[in-house]
Amino acid sequence: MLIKSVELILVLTICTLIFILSISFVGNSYNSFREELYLLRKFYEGRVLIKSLTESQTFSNKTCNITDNLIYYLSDPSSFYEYMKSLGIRDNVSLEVIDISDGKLLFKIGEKRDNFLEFRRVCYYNGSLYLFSIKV
Amino acid sequence: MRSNFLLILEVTIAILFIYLLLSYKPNFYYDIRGFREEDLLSSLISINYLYPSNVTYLEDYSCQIASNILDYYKVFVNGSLACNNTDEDLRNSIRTFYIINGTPIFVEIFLK
Repeated sequence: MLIKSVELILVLTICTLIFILSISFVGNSYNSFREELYLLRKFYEGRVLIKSLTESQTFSNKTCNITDNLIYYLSDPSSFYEYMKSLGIRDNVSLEVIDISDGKLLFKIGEKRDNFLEFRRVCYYNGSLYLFSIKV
Repeated sequence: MRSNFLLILEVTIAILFIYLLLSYKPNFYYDIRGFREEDLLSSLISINYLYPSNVTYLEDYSCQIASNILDYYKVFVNGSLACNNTDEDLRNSIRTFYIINGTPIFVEIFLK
């Protein structure tokens, strides 16, 4: 009888432990999955934004080409945010356009964040090279 | 006797299950490599719009682009080192060419 009750207590303890472990394991997996998904989403948002900004001209697939329309967009932050919204980008994004010959900052939209992914491209526009830096 | 055997069996199965549960690490595989190369290549095309008249200009433009985009780089123009910011052995590279006065000039950029 004693052995039976000890066995029952042992089985119950082990079952409880396994249950707790399973719950914590599922929770941890879900959290790490969400973290990875968040990073991945940030990465693709940055890629979509930099590619759609610099490859907007016709026949410029994988080629950095800046249009006058883009410069007009960038001169007004609200239209830029509208553009981001149309692309379905929800996160805060900061964009800097710098003339690399003299280091002059042309446009700056958004604030720099602590943990960010950065995408940079150097594009030709109107006789000089400009650095497009997007931080997501 | 039978009860002892069952107990040992249950404990063994439980230990095995816990071991499997703890040793399993979920991995989410995704491949995001190659975006630096893509950005570099799309930027290097911009040099064509500037029509560099000699190799020195080409070196300047290539180095400007590499230094602004890449963290670690080595730029070779026609096989000779134009600029670098690391002495490490970099394996990945992008090779392209420009035609200056009818002569193809090869630019190879090593990146990390």
